[in-house]
Amino acid sequence: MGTNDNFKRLAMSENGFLFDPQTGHSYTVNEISMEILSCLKRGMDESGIIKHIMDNYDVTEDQIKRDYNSFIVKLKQYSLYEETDKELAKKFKK
Amino acid sequence: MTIPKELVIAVTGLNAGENPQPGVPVIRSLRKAGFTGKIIGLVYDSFESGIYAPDMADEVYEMPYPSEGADAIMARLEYIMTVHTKIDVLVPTLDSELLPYISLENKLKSYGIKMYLPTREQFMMRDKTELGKLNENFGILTPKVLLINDTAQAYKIPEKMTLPVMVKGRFYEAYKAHNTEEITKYFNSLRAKWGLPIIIQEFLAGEEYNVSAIGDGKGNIVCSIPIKKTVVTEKGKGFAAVVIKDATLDKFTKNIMKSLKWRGPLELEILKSNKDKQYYLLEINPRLPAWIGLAIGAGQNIPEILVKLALGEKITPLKKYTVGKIFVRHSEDIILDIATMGELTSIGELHDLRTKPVTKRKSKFMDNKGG
Amino acid sequence: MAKKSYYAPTIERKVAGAPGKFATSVPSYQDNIDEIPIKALIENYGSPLFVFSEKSIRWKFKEAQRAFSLHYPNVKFGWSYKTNYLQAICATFHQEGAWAEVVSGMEYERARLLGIPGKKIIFNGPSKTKNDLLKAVSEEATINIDHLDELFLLEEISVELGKKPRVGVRVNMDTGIYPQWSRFGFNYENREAYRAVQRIVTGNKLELIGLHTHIGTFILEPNAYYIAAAKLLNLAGYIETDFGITLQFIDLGGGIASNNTLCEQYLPGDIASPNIEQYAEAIGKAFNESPFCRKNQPTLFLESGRALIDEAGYLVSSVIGKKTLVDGQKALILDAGVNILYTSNWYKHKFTPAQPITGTIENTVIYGPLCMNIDVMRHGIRFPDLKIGDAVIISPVGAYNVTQWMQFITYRPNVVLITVNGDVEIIREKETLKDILHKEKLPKHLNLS
Repeated sequence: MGTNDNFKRLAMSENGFLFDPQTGHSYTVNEISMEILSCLKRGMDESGIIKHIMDNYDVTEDQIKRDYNSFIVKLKQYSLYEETDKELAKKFKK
Repeated sequence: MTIPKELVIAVTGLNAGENPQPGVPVIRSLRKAGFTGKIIGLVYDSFESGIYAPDMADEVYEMPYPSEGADAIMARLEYIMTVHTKIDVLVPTLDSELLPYISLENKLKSYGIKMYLPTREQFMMRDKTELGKLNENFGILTPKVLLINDTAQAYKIPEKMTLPVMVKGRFYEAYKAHNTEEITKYFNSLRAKWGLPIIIQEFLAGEEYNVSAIGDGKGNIVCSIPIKKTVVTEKGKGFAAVVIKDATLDKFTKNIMKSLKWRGPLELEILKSNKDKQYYLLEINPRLPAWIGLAIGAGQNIPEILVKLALGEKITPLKKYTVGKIFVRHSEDIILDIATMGELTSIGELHDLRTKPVTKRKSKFMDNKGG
Repeated sequence: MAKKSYYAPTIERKVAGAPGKFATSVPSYQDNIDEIPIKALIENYGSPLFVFSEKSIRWKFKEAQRAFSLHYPNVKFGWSYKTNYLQAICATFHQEGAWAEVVSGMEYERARLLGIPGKKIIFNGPSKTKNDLLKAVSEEATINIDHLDELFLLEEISVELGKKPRVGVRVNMDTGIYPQWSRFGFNYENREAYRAVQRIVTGNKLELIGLHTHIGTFILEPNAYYIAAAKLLNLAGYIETDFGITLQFIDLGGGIASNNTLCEQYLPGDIASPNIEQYAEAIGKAFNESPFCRKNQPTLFLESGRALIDEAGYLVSSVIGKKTLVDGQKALILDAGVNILYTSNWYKHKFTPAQPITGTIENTVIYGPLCMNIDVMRHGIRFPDLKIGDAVIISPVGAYNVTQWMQFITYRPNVVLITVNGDVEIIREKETLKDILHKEKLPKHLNLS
């Protein structure tokens, strides 16, 4: 079920302003959020994104994992992101 | 003399939509006075319409809310001054920001920023709960006021005042009540919103007038324009008004200025009672009104005078103005790309607004179509 | 290549009228109190931790003394024990010259224990017991009478001890402020206070030496004190002409606002509250206008508590958890809750991060650690993202918290004083299980071991 790609339609400006042309909502994000959203748009999965952030930023794995999850919770709250059943199953297996 | 173009003037309150603020007409008046220098807008919300109107401010900056306190305002101004631009004169135009700016007056002066504001004491004196004291102390007629704080007191009002009465919240909102049941009803709803005390004001039937004026702090009027609002919206905002001339009203205004030794701009709300034909002071707003554009139409550029007074210039009091000028408020839609507003939202500032109007700016999205 | 500095990702929906990124202050951080690093304080004394600054207490007291004596030199402060009766705090005020103002037998005993003689104790409040009064009368404390039954009791004691109690009459009145406190003392407007004086004079068993009032709490209107002082002085004038008694003091109680921000105030307290000068000016004006004052120069007593101690107290607390609420707001869970910060019911305290801020500022609810829904330290403020273990300074918290706090599910923390010399002294130790069990008794048949 679930669609995975609502965030894909977001228009992003360099300074962290997002516009959702379908709903008319707009958002502000910070630099790390921009990075994560760009990764998601490119189709990267959680472990890839976490590695990407760790490669570029001074952060522990534990910290970014926690923050990544609460960021995804927020995207879900704004209906910008939903995990597919397949992904959930994959996560569950881990 | 026109205001030197090297100066930078900061103005707050740029909303000109449903809840019009004085910033936009203040900037228009300064431009009409021939000021060609830089004007910066200090805004609280990226939806303040004046940000995007043509030929308004050169730059705008988002400011911390007054509720964040004077330090927060100071920190933001320091940022603006260190990174972007000097400020020579600052014109606050909103009630809620006046106390913080009054408390910052000396500090701002040390940075070279000049203002022309009432003192803290004058500001407190005009609080709705204090206004009645002007009657005791200076003989300025004000409607009778009772402060009540429980409904038991509401039932005793008919013993003390003739009904109907106005039931008012501490900061905003007022209702006319014809009996104690209505008083109690409004008491409860106002208490929930604005807290105690609730202000019970004698209801006076009559004609309302407004005066915008500047006092020199010594009891003299520097300039003043009296008007009669001819269109008032449901929310009590004047959307049309005409300049009038009334010698008794002038005398009344003069007496207020003399008694309070008011420094800076103010707007008086005055009622001429049908019953005794006397003038009553309903409210003092310690700032320029949103209809201040009409003053220049009548021949007195009050915002320009305010800036000159802040700069320490000596002004010969203006006495003449043209009666019968009117204004009719007209609103228009400004069309721009959401990315421009987004820029203000995300970085808190917009630049070159006069040289590159927002209506002509291209979208700044990295990937406009998304995906 | 060096890695870029990291902060937690955030996303916020833009709504017209809702605060934008710059609509709130970018909070600055404060990593020390009186030059003692917060980190060191937590390491040595734990978290949460109440911290008092002796320097600020003394400075504030001198400031108040100066402000009032400028307008009326014969002024004396009584330290309001109920505001903060930790011994170290009381002793600091006493060293500065304050008397003790107590409202119960326990507070009276505390003052005596510190070595304050009865003659320098003002005994107020509606609940003085016979035993309390016997002691206070024999030690010549000043007793402000709250109600008629107390007056009768004092007359009884006067006969019993063969000693005239030194008394004042507590008066309540309309000073134009709301709510009008009418539950304490005798009313001015309906002449109840005058009749109480009449009763004292005709009884001839008490020595009437003053008048007392306390018009309310967190009074933001200095003029109310002008009215209160004028009314008491007017009454003092009548007492002199009608009964030939010249009163020695006029006690205006407390109630002066601190720089805290009340929950319903829009502007922060440091702007909205009048400063102490304005109160001093209002009271001084009434004293200088009064013919009774010009003739007799009575002592002006003040019992300000909050205004003198609030800003000298800080609560240092640490982040123990974070979460995102269903409405998208962020929540921080601190290790200090409403049980030790009782004043969070009244004030929007200032929350200051104790280390440099890196994260983005978001709408944040700040919770305490109690397993109770009411444990909210601060509703929706704009606050930077903190990490687990980061510290926060909550201020001003010097008034009422260390007297009204509750022991609940855990131990109350250490309270330290940073002395004028820069030393850190524990002035109340963190509780232990032993302290809490100390007064408990387990009936034999319930003993499980």
